[in-house]
Amino acid sequence: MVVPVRSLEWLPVPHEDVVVSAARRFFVALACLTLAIAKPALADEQATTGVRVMARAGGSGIAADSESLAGALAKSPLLDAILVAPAGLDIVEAAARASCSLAVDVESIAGSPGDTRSSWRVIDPVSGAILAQGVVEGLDPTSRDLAEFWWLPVVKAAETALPAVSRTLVRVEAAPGTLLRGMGDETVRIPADGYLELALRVPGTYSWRAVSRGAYPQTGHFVAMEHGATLYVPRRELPRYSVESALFMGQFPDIRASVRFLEDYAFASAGLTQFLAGLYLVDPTYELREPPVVLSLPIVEPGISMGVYVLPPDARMRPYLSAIAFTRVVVASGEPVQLDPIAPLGLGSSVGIEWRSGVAIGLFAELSATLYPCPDGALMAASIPRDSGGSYSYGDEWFLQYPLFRVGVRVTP
Amino acid sequence: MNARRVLTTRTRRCALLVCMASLVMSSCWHPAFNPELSLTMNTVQKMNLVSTIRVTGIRQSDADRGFFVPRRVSVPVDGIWLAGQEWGDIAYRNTVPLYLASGASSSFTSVSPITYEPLRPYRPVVRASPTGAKEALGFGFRSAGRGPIRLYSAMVPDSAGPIQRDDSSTVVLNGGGGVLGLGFAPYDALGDAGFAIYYDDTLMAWQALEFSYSGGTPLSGTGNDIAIPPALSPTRVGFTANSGAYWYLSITDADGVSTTYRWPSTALMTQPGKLQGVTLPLVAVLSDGKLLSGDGTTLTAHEADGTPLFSVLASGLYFAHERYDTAAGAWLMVFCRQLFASDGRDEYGTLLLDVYELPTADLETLAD
Repeated sequence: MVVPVRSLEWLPVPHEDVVVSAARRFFVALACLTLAIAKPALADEQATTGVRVMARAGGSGIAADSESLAGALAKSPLLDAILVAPAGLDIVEAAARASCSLAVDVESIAGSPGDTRSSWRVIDPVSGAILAQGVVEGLDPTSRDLAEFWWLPVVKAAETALPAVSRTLVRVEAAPGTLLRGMGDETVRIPADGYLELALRVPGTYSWRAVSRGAYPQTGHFVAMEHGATLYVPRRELPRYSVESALFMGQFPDIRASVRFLEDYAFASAGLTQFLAGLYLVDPTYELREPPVVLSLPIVEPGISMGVYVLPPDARMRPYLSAIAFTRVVVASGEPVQLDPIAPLGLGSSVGIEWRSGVAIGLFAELSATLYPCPDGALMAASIPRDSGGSYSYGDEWFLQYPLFRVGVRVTP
Repeated sequence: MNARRVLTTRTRRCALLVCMASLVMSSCWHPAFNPELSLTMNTVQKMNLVSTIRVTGIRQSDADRGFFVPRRVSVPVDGIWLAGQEWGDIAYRNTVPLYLASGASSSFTSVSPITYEPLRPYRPVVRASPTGAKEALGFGFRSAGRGPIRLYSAMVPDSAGPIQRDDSSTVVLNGGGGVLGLGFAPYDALGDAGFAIYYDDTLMAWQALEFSYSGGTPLSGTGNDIAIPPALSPTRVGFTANSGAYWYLSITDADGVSTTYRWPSTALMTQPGKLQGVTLPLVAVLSDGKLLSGDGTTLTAHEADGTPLFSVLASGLYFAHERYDTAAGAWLMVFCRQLFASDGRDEYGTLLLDVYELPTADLETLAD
């Protein structure tokens, strides 16, 4: 089993593979089980809040080994991170600086030949109070002894002392009804008066996430260093509408406006795709020696669409699915405005992904296919010039065009 | 640089990259829309669709260089396809007649073809037999006498088979002079009349030739001297027909300008009048004396004196013939719309042939 040990400066520290005998393994498991049964809240709490312990083993003799002490403490499932106190710094001060819940200080003396005495203390870094202390003494321990059993009383004392460390009330202010997770072992709801006081271990660092109806989920890290600290959960309203512009097939500009609902998981849009002006970069042919750069076709396609996002509004990349229905309107000069007699209607489905590059702006790309119910799909195929790109299929009463794509910008004021 | 400016710059860069990528990926895509074809639906929807013929597996270059002559029956499910064999810029350097109906192209092109050489590299003038038989009369080929050639299928009953050729017609265009115009027009309920204006270098005079065609091989023709406007320089053989009261000649010069002339049938030796209202090539003289002109995209109807009545979009649509409906006692105009639908993967696709009819008396309903 590998025991990770980190110093205060987070420099890589050599670690040891520790082989635990069957008896020691049983003892550790029994201790863990006892703790699990007796103090389930404590275990959950510690797992949630991240218990950090500062350790030092000074003095003389082989037991003056901070790393072996840290290694033993790290085996405890109730202690999440063990830091080795830097030399020359008071351990209580070092633990407070590092937001540790406990400080474990051991002073060992190698007495008469063959004996070692390790005096240990478990200290609350915030108050400086000694929560537990004791002595481990016996024959000079070997490295294996240090790894297997020498520090066990110290480990147990640290685990026992956890509930006794300072807890303080932290005030959380957020919109009523906000669900807050990460500040404690349970998800809490902010009541109608907009604040809640939680008893949390101090010092402590808490990773929290708040979900409020009608607002973007908020996340953050709260460092509780003193009694009475307040967490203000910001609220940014979810957008109710958005406007987007895209290049259909990278050639034809289009525009859409959307209404967003269901906590910004769904949207309904209305828009217009136009082919009155668009890029058309084709090679010259025998029939067309100088092809135009801008293609203009007298047709526009107003339509409506609906879609759903897969991920929450605060996700950086949000995939979505959408479906669209549109009409094809011919707006030829000298002719009355009319629906395209060959295929007046189109139905499309698309899959897209939106990257929110800024607070109110996002880039998106969509891939889609469009089906045209029509009296004769062959007429749609006959409407496409040779070598125009794209794939399609058709039948007696339908025409399917694929793959189609849009890339554009979506603005949510 | 604050976070807001960093995001804006990043957004600009990403947007630029996305736009460039999309340009690289696409930029040559064309929507499934052809304005002329779509708006032509307004024209054909006013006609009666009598037949739909689909020929699959045809190469687009072959479909573009050919035209269809539907059989002259009430529901024409087949006809003769005149395929041009290109030689340089000459689309119809040789012409191959093939029997055609709905089906795979290979079943019709596998027969041993016969070829004809047009007088000049123009689209041959071919008229389906008034009897409704699987035959047609072609005009202006290189043959003895330059007269019309009967094209017919020897296979009976209806089935695919090679088109036979009979150029034993006694109708000849004497001499070796130029031909200004060829054409057909309804003569009576039983048949058409064929027309030609050509130079007879043995008589040293322009001739206006007329013969009857009631099916089979035409046997007789009458020629008359005709005065031609000076300094004509047509680039190809034009259209000519006699409505009974007037002879018409429509030619196109090297600049692409079309001019239509008209003579009184009883005064061919007078200089003709120029019909100012006809600016597109004349394509038909109808049984009621009205005229049709068109360029493959637009179809215009005229009075007998060329006065325009109306124009409609007619992309891919062309006038085939008039058919006399004995039961109704009326003439019917027959149009054919010829399109090519690619299968999207290679140069092959489907030839779409739709045959429409409209009573000649209802011509002006197209303008509604």
